[in-house]
Amino acid sequence: MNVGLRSIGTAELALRASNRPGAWFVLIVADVLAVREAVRELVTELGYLSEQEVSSLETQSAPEALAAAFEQCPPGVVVTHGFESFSSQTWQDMDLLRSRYRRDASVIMVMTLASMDLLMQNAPNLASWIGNAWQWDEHAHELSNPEREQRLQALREQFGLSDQEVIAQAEQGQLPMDPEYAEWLVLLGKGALLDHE
Amino acid sequence: MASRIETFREYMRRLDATAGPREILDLGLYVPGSKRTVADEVAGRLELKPDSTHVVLGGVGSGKTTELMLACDHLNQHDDFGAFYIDISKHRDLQSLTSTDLTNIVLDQLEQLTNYYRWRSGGVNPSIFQDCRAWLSEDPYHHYTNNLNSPYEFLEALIGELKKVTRHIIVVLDSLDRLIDADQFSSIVLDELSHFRKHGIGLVLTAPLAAMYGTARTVLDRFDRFHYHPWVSIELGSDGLDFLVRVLHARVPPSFCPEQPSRRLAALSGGVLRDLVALAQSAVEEAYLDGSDTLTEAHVGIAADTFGRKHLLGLNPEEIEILQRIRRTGTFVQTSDRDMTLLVTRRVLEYHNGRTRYAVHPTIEPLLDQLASP
Repeated sequence: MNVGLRSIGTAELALRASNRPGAWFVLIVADVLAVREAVRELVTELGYLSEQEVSSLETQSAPEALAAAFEQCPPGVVVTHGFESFSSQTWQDMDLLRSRYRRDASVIMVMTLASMDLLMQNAPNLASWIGNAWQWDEHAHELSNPEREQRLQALREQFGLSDQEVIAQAEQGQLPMDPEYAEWLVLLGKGALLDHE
Repeated sequence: MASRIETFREYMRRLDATAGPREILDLGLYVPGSKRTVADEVAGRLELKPDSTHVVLGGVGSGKTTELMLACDHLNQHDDFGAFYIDISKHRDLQSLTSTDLTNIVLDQLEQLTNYYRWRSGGVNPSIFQDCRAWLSEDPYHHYTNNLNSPYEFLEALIGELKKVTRHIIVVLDSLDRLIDADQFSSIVLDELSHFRKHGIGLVLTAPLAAMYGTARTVLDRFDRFHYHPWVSIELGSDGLDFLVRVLHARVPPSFCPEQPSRRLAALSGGVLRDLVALAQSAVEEAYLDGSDTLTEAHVGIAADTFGRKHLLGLNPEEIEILQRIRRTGTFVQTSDRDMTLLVTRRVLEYHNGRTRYAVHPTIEPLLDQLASP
């Protein structure tokens, strides 16, 4: 039963995941093709925001191998996918291995709604770790001009800086690490300056 | 002075719902309840009868593991007790776990956990431990000194040596509650129970929630004591809400999370500790993105709505109807695996506060109401 999940874009989800240690999130996508696209975008966005390496893990229908891969991952957010091949039994197996998936950084599981339904039915221990699940809004980044200006104005007021001051700080490698500054540069079309940080 | 993001990140860290209980205890974030806890009960009864066997049941996210670890810590304060906590799932795939595997894991962990001065200097025979390690790792080159040929013989020998250092050995086994059904639990545990009893080892372990219901309940009779760790009752007149607010304020200050949103979070958690922490973390995140420096009921509302929508996933129309009936009448009778699944997955919460009461998880209540509206 789906009463309608809230929608989220990859940029906002990446921002949330980079600030919530240990949290597990689920991003619901329309189909298997969308899984890969969403994973690609998430890894890119997280790369801008996260001070640590971002890992992308595909399950290969093998919870034990996935657990081993989790344990070997460097510290940092993990984006995991490939759950469409999971049966009810596979989810039960993954549930039994839950202790081995524990990480200090957050985990994002990207999957279809059908996979999420199976998870909720068969993996109660893992499900209790999942704080939030959202429907992917793949057009969320496409702000209209008024929306972009509204967000930029909110950032200017919040931090008391002009766009020019933020750009200058970024060019000098002096921009604070708050993820809002990364968003600010992207909204100004200056995302390339994030490589200076 | 910490920046805003540093302050919020610290709140997030303290509200990590997946954090291990040992970390929570070491950070001083544990808040004891006003009544005697499961940790108090288990430790107290083992102090009186150190070779007794105990089984602990409770829902997912109720805090069972924290209570088990506390019981261990309590017992280890005594010089004549050695209590060892073992998470079985970290050492073997539970799906294929056998009764012999269980004893091998206990042997392996006892050998590792006692590999330091306190245990190896009290006149123990080191060759027993060396042979045990070699046998477990199937070392083909080891020269065995002792004629021990089965996990049970090694267990007897190892316990014999450990009891030269301390009189009472307690083994606490966690994660067996994740087994799907009580039959599987029985087949793994009950055979080994007699071996542990024979060697005078005190035993505490967790069991699947299904063991509390129907004919499966007979497995609990094989233990000296059964302990149930319930959800916190949030009924009006109980002190459950106050307790949950104290849990919250141990992690985030009241100046950030005032009384009203704190009590709202406590109520929405349904008394499930892990859900309280997860909802709080989500609400704090909303406050951060909102540019607010305090938590408000609006932030709590968004967090609860997002949580509830996720919590309703995976249910079929029949299960929704069961939840609607509980919402209307408060009655729930477990007659099938489907009913048990609703309990295990925390869509239905069972409370024991003088009487047994059922309710749907508070975060799905408004959504069920929407579904029921014409």
